[in-house]
Amino acid sequence: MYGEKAVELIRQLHRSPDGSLPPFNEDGIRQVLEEMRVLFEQNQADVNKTVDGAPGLFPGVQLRHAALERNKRCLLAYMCNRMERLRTMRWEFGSVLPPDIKYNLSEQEIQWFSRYNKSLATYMRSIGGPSGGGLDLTQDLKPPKSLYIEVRCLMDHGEFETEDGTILLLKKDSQHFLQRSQCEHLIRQGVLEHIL
Amino acid sequence: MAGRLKSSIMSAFKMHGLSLRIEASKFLVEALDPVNEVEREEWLDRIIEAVQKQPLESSMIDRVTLEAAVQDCVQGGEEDSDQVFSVIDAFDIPKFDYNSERKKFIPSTALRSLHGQATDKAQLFRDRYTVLFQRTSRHELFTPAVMGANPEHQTKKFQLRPVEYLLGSVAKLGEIIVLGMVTQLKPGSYYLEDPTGAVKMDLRWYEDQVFHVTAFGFPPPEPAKTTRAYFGNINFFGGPSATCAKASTKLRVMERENEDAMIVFLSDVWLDDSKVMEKLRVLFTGYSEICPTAFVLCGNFTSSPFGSSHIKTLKESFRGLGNLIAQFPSLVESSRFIFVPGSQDPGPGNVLPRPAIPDCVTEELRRKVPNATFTTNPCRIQYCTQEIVVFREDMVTKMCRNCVKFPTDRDISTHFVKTLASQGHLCPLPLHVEPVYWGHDHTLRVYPLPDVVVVADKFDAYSNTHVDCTFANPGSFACNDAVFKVYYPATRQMEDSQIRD
Amino acid sequence: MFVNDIRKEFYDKVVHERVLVLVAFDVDALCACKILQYLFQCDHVQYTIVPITGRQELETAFLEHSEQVKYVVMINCGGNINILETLQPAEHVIFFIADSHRPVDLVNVYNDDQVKLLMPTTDDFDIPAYDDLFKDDESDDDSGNESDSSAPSGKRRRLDEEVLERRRERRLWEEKRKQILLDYEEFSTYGTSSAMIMFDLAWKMSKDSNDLLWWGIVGLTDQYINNRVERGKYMTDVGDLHKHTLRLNHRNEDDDNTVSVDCIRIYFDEELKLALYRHWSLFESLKHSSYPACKFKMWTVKGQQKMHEFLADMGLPLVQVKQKFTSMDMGLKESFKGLFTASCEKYGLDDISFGSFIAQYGYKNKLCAADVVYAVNGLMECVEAEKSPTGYFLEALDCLSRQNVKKLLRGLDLAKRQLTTIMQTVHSFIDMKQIISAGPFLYAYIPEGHPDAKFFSRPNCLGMLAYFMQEAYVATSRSRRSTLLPMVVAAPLNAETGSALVIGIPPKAEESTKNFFGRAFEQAAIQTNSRTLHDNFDTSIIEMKSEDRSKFFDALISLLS
Repeated sequence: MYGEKAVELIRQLHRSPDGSLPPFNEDGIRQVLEEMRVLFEQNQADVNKTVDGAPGLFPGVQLRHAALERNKRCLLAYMCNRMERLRTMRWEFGSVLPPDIKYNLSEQEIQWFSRYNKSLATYMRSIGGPSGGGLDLTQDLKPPKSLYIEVRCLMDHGEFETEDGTILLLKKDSQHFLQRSQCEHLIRQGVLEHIL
Repeated sequence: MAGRLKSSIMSAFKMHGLSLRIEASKFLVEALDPVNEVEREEWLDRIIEAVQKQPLESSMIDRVTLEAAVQDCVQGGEEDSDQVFSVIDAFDIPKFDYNSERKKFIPSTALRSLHGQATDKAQLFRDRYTVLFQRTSRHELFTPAVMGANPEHQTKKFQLRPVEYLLGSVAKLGEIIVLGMVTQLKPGSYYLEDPTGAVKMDLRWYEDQVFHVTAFGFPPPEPAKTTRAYFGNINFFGGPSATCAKASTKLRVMERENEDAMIVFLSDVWLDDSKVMEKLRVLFTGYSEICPTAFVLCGNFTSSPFGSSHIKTLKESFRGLGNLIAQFPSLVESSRFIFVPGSQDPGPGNVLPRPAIPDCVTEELRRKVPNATFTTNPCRIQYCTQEIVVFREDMVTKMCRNCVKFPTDRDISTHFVKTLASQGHLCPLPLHVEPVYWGHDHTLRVYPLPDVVVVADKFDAYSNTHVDCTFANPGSFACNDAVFKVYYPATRQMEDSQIRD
Repeated sequence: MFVNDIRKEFYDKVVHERVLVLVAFDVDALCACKILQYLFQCDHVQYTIVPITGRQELETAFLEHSEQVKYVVMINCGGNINILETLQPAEHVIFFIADSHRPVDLVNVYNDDQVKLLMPTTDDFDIPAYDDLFKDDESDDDSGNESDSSAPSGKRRRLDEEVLERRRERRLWEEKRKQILLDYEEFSTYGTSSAMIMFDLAWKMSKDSNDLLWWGIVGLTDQYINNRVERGKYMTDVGDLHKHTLRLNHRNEDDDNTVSVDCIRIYFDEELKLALYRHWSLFESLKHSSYPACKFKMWTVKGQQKMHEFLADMGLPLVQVKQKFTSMDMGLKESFKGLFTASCEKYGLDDISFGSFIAQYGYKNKLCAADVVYAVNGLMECVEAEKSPTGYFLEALDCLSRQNVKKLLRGLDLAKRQLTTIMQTVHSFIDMKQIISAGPFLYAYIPEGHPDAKFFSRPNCLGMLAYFMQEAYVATSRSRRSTLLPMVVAAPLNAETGSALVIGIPPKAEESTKNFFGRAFEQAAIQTNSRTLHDNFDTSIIEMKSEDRSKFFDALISLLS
């Protein structure tokens, strides 16, 4: 039936768990586009025939047009949904994506991601006027309970410098007591573990 | 002061979700210190952009990555200058493996040694098969029918089957198409082989375990544009840029503007033959006013390439050539000289790809002519957006001798060109006829099809265009009365030329 | 240099700085660390905690973390090592050491700027006078005189006499110095628990609470259980802590201000030397605690019968005794202690009880300090390969917090396993007479390939095994000399490198914790050229290659006889 491949694309995306992105199904998209092209050509031919006076072709044209619209909607939904997931990832993982996710993205999606990064960064830097240092919105997504937190290092991460210049050696199984703002992104990346 | 600079740098990186390691931040503070306040913001932005272009594994930036990014930035303006023309050695060509799950070509990171393992030999044929199979299956004939298309308007679709399908079925089968390699597993009878099995062929039909063939042909070739549409801008060709040269608009503009650019191809330039040297002198005199972009001289470089004095003669001949070229200072300055060795030139055995002529032989020439490059056989040349492959081998004779069915018409060159284009390989011959280093078979691949393929041969000169690719043979400069070819990239024309007496 | 006012000279100095805290691997250090963490967190002092097992790790940890660190706090490590020489720190780095190991290295004592010792000066240290140890003005005169050889002959005779006189004096002084040092460093013992020092600090800052008090108690109890504190000192310290307990816990008696059930309440009680009996069955506990087991000689059939008799005498049915303590009849549970103490007197177990504390929070969690010590130790020295030793250290650190009761329960299970293994090993050794009286000391070694050998690759566990074995041997042996013999136990440490862990403990009859094995091991190693590693902060525990074991012990025998 018309439009089945498009729905298959959506189903595939829907099946995958929320935080991840399945590989970009370029083949599927090409097939849908091919179907749309064939439908469109047929429609054009029919419309020309009708203009020339042949009767009874309207239902066919309507059906194909509906199929075309449906395919278009599915394709757009697919791309939009992936884009939204990517955007959530920026807020969760930071601006460098883990390689296994990057593997699954198409070229254009990678480009979009870097441009989104840039826009976000420019916006954040502009907060507070030209003299203000900008505000990192990706931090403190939940209201913090305390200024300093105790963290445990889960893996060897080497030396780490905080904003005020102090240098810490993040070695596996060492425990540190730091300002929350300095180490929040490391907690998100999984390098540090927050000890309550 | 430095503290403020440091904190502003760190916060700028933080906004972009990146963090710097200590040595990296120190380095950047030092680098940006002399720059004045106004420009600093701009530079910082550019550096961050350059950092993001680099392949990053985690959001911690270390000193090496940062240095590379800063380098990029600094050289930013002079981006494409030295990429207008580059010569790519066979051993520098990147290898791409086709990943059939994701339908993409992934660059292979495995170390390739010259003398491969036993598995490399099998892999060689598998790779050749995979490249052709994926190309063929994307062809119209074999893609499944699109829903909704008018059944009358469709071209007849076939099923592309592997050999095991044939071997697995007992009954007489209808029309199917199988893609495989023609082999002679037993002397006198042909077999069709693919990674799943081999089946005996009878060039008539299939019955009783014998594939009787009704039609027998090459997999359809694919123009380069289509390949790129599927695989994006990966740089299959090799060379310094990360993306395909075709993607660069700058280069395309440069190519169109530079109308006088030309590349001269000569083959069998016997430097110890005085007549050849004379003709060369005439050639250089002629071209010394309108300096061509490059001269590509293919071997063999001596007329009698055997005996104990071979190397000595070669050395002297190169010295002579050096002196000759030095007499034309305009050529020395503005033209590049590329030397591709032939099968009789000094080198390790007769296996492809053949490395460049050793440095000790060509020292003096290189001193006199700094723009001279001694490269491998085959080699690739990238000029602006055009991809040129140069290969020096007496392919036509070998092909004719080893073909399954000799063409009935006399137009050998067209058949040869079609063969190469369909096979996507410069040398689709069995390994005992034309040995290839097993790990380096990808250097002979011409997929996606480049713009020009020059197969220098001692056969008659020809030039043919097939599927948007120009195949040419400049002919033997020494034997055939100084014939050669000139290529104009701006108009994509290949012109015949000759130096008459 | 000893610190007089711990608050002013230590805490106030570091309160605005970043601190590196190096913690050794024992329960006392863990508790001290917990208290210090709490104080630092109140004042937002940024710190980094690094657990270390021995001297080598101390050096590496310091090197790695030394960038930008100005204040280093060392808990139960570094006291008996010459810090400045070992670590070669930069001039501005200051070390604060709270170490219960004695003797304190003399350079640490007499260095005024970089090393500050947080141990209370009321401990008797027997530190020799400064002048007896350091004399650097004389040497200049001597060398000056020697080089002055071109003096005329008349004066020269007089000068010669002076020079000779000075040289003799110097020689005497040096000999005296050597003797003093030998005497000072001959025995290694233990001082005040570091956890108590930290609790003291908290109290002086008025930041003490029941939680901190409990950690202090656990630290002190750890010293008691591992025989690291003399009876007298223990009683004094318990008295101090009792005062604090009363001060912090008097509210229960007041009906108006009853505290919520979830708050921690601590009270003093006479505790029995039955390990983990509240979390185990009585029978098991009796079997696995060293005191009752050795008194009854549980490895013999007669001993077991005697114990059954004992239980019957108390009026406890065997069925009840063998099931978990918590599921015993209520009546039995309540009267148990009274009955037990009475029976013990009858059977000659005089020393069965000691003063200790119990903590209670919530309805389920009633813990006595000794139990917590066993649990934390079990967790810290867990030998499963799931985590690295430092990983387990951090787990143990976690389990001391009240929220992590589950971890503590896991620790109790691990402790039970430890005790079971120790008991089984002791039984088998006694049965097969594998404890050898090698002249001046008792000697036992766990052979490689022994199924439970991995438990004894941890120093604390090996210590517990050694004490149990010694007591068992004394109980079985007929010779009166056995109580005077110290004991040496060796266990395989690492099968791949072929190394073994050796511990020496003082004789049973000795009241104090003086242990001369540190020096003895060193000398034996030098004499026989054995490949030993004196890495542990406790000098009586060393690592050595199993191959050198026999010649090492021969040398030790000849040294001590």
